Amino acid sequence: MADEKVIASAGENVAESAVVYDDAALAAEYQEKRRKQIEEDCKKPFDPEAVLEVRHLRKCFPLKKTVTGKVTQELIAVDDVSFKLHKGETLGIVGESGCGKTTMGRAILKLHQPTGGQIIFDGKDITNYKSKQMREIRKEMQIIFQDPYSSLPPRSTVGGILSEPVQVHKIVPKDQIKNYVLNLMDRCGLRDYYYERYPHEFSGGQRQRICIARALSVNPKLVICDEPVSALDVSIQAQIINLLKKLQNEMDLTYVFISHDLSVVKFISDKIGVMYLGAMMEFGTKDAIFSNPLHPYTQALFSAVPNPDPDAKMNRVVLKGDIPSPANPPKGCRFHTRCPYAKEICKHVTPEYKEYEPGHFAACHKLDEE
Amino acid sequence: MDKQEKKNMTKASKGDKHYLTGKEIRAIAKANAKEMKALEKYKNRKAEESEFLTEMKDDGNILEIDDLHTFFYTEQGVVKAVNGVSYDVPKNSVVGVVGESGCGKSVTSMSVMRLIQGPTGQIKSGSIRFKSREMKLDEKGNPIPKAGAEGEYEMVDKIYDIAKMPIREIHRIRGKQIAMIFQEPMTSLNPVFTIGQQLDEVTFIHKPGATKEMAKAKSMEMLDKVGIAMPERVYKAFPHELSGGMRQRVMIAMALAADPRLIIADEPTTALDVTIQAQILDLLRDLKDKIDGSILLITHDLGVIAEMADYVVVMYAGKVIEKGTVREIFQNPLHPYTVGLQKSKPTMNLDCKTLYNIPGNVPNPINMPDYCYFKERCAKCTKKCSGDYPEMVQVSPTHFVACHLYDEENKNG
Amino acid sequence: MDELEIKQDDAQEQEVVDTDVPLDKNVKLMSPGRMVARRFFRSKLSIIGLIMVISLFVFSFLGPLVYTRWGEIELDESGKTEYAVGSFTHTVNGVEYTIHQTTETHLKDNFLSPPSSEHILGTDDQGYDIFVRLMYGGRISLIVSFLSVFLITIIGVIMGGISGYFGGAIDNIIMRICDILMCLPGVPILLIISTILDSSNIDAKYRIYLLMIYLTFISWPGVARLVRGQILFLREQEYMVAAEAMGYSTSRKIFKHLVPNVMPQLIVQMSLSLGSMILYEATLSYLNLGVKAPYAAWGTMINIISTNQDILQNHWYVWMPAGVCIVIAVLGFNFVGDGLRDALDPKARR
Repeated sequence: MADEKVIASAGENVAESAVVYDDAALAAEYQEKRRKQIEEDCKKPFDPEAVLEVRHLRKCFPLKKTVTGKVTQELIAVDDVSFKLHKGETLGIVGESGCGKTTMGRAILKLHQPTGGQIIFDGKDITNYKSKQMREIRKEMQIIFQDPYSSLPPRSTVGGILSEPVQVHKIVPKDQIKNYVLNLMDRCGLRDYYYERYPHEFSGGQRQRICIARALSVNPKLVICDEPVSALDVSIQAQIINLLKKLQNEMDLTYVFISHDLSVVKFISDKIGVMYLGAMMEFGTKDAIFSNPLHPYTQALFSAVPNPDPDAKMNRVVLKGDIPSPANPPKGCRFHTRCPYAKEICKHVTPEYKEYEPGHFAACHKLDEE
Repeated sequence: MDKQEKKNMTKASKGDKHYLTGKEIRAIAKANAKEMKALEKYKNRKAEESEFLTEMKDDGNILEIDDLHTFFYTEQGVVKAVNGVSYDVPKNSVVGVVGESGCGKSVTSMSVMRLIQGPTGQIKSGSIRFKSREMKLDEKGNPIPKAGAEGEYEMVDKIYDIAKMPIREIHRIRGKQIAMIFQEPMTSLNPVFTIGQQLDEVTFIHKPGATKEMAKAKSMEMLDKVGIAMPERVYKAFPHELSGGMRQRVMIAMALAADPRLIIADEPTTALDVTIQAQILDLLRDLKDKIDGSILLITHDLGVIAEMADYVVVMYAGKVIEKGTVREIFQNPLHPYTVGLQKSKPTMNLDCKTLYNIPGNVPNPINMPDYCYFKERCAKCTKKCSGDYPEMVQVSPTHFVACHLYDEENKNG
Repeated sequence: MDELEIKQDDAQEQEVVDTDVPLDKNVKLMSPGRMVARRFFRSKLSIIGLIMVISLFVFSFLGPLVYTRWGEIELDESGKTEYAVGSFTHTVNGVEYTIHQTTETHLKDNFLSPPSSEHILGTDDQGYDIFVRLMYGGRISLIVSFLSVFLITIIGVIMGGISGYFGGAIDNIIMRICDILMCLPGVPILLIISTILDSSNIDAKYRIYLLMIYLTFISWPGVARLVRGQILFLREQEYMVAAEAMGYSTSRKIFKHLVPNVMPQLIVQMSLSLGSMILYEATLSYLNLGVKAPYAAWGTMINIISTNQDILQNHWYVWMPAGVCIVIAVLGFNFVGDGLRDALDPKARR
């Protein structure tokens, strides 16, 4: 908290411009503009080739409520996120803690009901599906969690964990379930004698393999990987990443790969989205993002990654200050409190999320000037 | 009949032995209790100072860990968490210890601080020689003021063997001579005191006769040193009012407040975001030149090590497998594990289809095999690897590796 | 450290470079159930507790079937002869005479007889056999406490489950009801109810059940809160989110994934509250609110001392055994409960 204020005072050094901004009017104008844009976009036909299309996804959590249940303060965890994902592609989502990447992943699966926007999965708008309809479609979209320790039920055997979804969704006839599961375990690099063992017997890496096997047991089209390797050791990380890649090729899977580790995201993704405080800051293909990062936040994020080469030249952009609380994001551009290029306009006007190069989106005032 | 007998035998040797029997458990418990009692007694004994004073092997070092064994006596058997670890920390340098979880890197540093939780965890043997700088005492036990400088005292170097120190004497070095920065800045600060109170306390404890004003001045200086823009505000704040990065800065300030000779930073940036990590690393790198002391940096992140450390120690399953200067380790890694570790981490400027990976898992810490612990996962495994655990081989004045691959090379040339 | 169980490697199996047989094949861990049992039986206290509880059960339920010499409300009418010895001095003509006088009284009932072969622990002030009444008293205590604990648990699980799983307004209502019930003072209201029962001529045998129903009524909020808390915790666990993502039905989630994980805490809670329920029952009976004469209960049996000082001083065998039984029961259940808690949650130890 204290640090935020520090930053605010530091920001005043930025050259003062003569323009006086009316924050309330600007906000109203922005809201109105956005509402129209969303309305317009949501009427557009679905892209038949996309496995997943997310349009203006928004998710708020109530923070304070009055006695009557009226929400007086809310946390905007995901604010206006849009992207398209084709079959067999991997979308990497990077961002720091509190940027809403996990919430976004869960909102796509409708584990959190989105507050606004549209989720189009496989040509169907699933945003308003009821829980019964969702249950049908769940086998098409799966999730792998970060913590391999809490994501496996402690009281079932590996065989039980893996055969339950197969049985519930009737993937194969009953008498073939065991064979099917053993086959699946083999593909995920689990030995057959693990079938009767319990999760607590395994190390993190093996547990994560079990989680992957469970997610894949229902033959999904889309898998959301929520920091699947963050809790693992380096040598095990590599095993899991290779496994995910191998399975993607074999099963034609589409991944949304959420991680805070840029090097991992770079390795596995085809497209990358950079999030900050709930909003997408930059989105594009891997090559575009890495060879030509547009947004100052992306640039800073890249340069912050420690380089395992002792002789590497260091010209690092070190961001000042802390990440503001997502419950109370800064006005205007969310990043202006830490941005090395922040100007007066950034403090008041929310930059538009625009396509600067084909397929390369970003939201920054600096880019408009150039 | 024969067949039946054979069947029974295999059953006995395979099936039933999956679980430790009650008898075995009791035997383990009995052996453990005996061992733990003896070690605990040794730990709590009273001893003359001469008993734990020693000499450094190399005067340029500030810390020498020599053949340290730290064991945990669990119900299933003895976990050799640190099994014969030796490394040195030279004066005014940063030594990075790298390894995966469970490799004993943290347990080693905890042993240096004597923070191993007894009675299950005990330092079994080995020595930790530490050169401490203390105030020179006169016959009555009072510090001798330095002539010409007020508030300063004559200093003297004393070399302690921390592993032999009774636990009641440990206050001589803990916090004062060796300070520690923990991974979790959330839980390492006491939530009911302000930052100022906690910082002042350090000064009160370690500087005899310090007044409130002196302590506050020192605390402010420290907060300023760690790059906190508004020390006055942070001084009055409670830990929960600060963000993770700020708390870690405060932790560093606390560690610095007693002017320690050695700072142990145990995964100082692991719990932080990348951009905040960059800030903290920047700060540490900055401080490294400012302070008169060494840093022992423990992390699993090779990138952090490469940026920060002068010397690197690579640990695996409770043993040091390779050590050398940072250039030697990163540009000429010798041990297959070090090589694998570096190759398996995707980097920002890497382009390939699949990552190199080390197959398998870290072996079970109980009942470690006699041969090289890395044998099962090693791609360069030879027949010799089934033999004894490889000795540490010196390949350059500063570069050591424990692998059979380099045995012959060394002998022949 | 996890509960690692290691199979000793056969020396001859360790041949050169056998990457096909991984090390961990020889390492096998136990199922969670076996681990719990193993940890439970490792502690001596829990074994003692278990023995105490089992022997009480055998004593109370099988005892009366085996030892049929006396019944619960059967008076020993064999009669008793009491001798009162007195002596006084009388001076007649300067000569002092001491007169010894023995009064022989024939009584119908054999009361307050010390332990003998006829009455293993003697008889009480009415002439009932104490040993037999201990058994019957145990029956009442155990039945009553088990019944009320089961009722408490069932109501608590249902209410806590609903409240935790569905949340929102339902949760709010149930939790407020819990708050109100927890405010009710236990003993004063019990006294009032007891007076009402007295005036309405309820069979002495059943009044304790009615009182325990009231106790159940005010005790379920404890369990409900426990279950609710546990369910709220479990709901945040990623495997529950995974179950949701798998598209399992609500009933499957509740009964296959939630309930088995609440059970450990429940079992511990149940075994601990059994002890306190036995104490409650004894207290009620001691205060003469619960089981009334002529029926036996441990509390009633101790109550005798409150009316007759002589028994407290001279006839320990009347009230001591009942007290010992209460101590054994409560200790036994608490030991078992503690043992179970340690076994189920090894982290809570130390």
